[in-house]
Amino acid sequence: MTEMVAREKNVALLDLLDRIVTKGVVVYGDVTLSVADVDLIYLGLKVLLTSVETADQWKRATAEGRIGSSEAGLPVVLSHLL
Amino acid sequence: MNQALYLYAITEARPRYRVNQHGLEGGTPFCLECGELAAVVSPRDGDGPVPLNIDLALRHEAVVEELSRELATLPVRFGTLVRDEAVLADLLSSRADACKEALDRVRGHVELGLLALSGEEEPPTSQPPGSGREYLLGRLQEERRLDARRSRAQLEFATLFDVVRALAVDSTLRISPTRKLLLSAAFLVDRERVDAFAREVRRLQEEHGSLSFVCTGPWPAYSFVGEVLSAVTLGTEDEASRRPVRPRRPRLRSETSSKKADSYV
Repeated sequence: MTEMVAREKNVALLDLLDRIVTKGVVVYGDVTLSVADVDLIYLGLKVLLTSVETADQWKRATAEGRIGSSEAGLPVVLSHLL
Repeated sequence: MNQALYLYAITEARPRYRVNQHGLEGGTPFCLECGELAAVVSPRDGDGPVPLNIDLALRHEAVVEELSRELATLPVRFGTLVRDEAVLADLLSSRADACKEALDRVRGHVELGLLALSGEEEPPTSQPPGSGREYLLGRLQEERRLDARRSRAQLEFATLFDVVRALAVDSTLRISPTRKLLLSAAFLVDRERVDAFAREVRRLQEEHGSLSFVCTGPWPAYSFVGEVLSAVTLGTEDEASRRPVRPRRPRLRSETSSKKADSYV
């Protein structure tokens, strides 16, 4: 059961990150200096993983949201979803 | 060092509204009003690309969520930088009608995610192939199995959609975005109906024991704001040539090529 809850929390985080990075208003044009363009976070998650340097950093980030943290951490998302 | 503005969202204007959340990279978010609209930005030292990491993504989300609770809000995609206040004001005034229309659509609504995961056990890993032929046959079988599962997922979603669509005003769907994720849907739901939606999802879970449903949110309406500012400077070849370089984007096989076909409403 605990494993199931952890899995669902990780799924929720992935779902949120997918929104932030691949959805939302896109401002094209010469007014835009840059825009992150990482489509398909489900596949591109490795990009995020490389920036998660320590478990502490990961826990700080998740503590800000309603997502909750998982001791298993982000790799669980990968193993369950990719 | 060049200065830039990090753009979080476009909202309805509310005089003297102060953003409580702190912004990305130490910047303090503020509202830049333009008529009935406001762009919420924070100053940034440097105009290089914003690095993509979880801390920054969640900081972006924290600001947008606060705005969404207080104001009709169009979330902007993570990592959007603009030069200065003047270009932003031009941008908003030139696309004011489209922005207001989009704000009207999301006002009072939230986005809910609904994911269906396979409850099936993965087949045991087979022995290493003895020959190239065996390897190719193995791959073929795997592909057929995935195709069959995608077809099944579409049927499952038809049922799922009928139940929850009555509670949503708009929706999107992706079939099998990854091997273990059968369905990924987003629904635009009246804030007052979130509990009812969650109840329906619980009922779905009881009825479909072979799948695992995960309902996420409520989120700002990322999936339903369209690309209201995307046409601003795409009018001529000359302007198009000045667009920032965007890397090629891989497409999922299961994604449809037309955005319209991807939506069920």
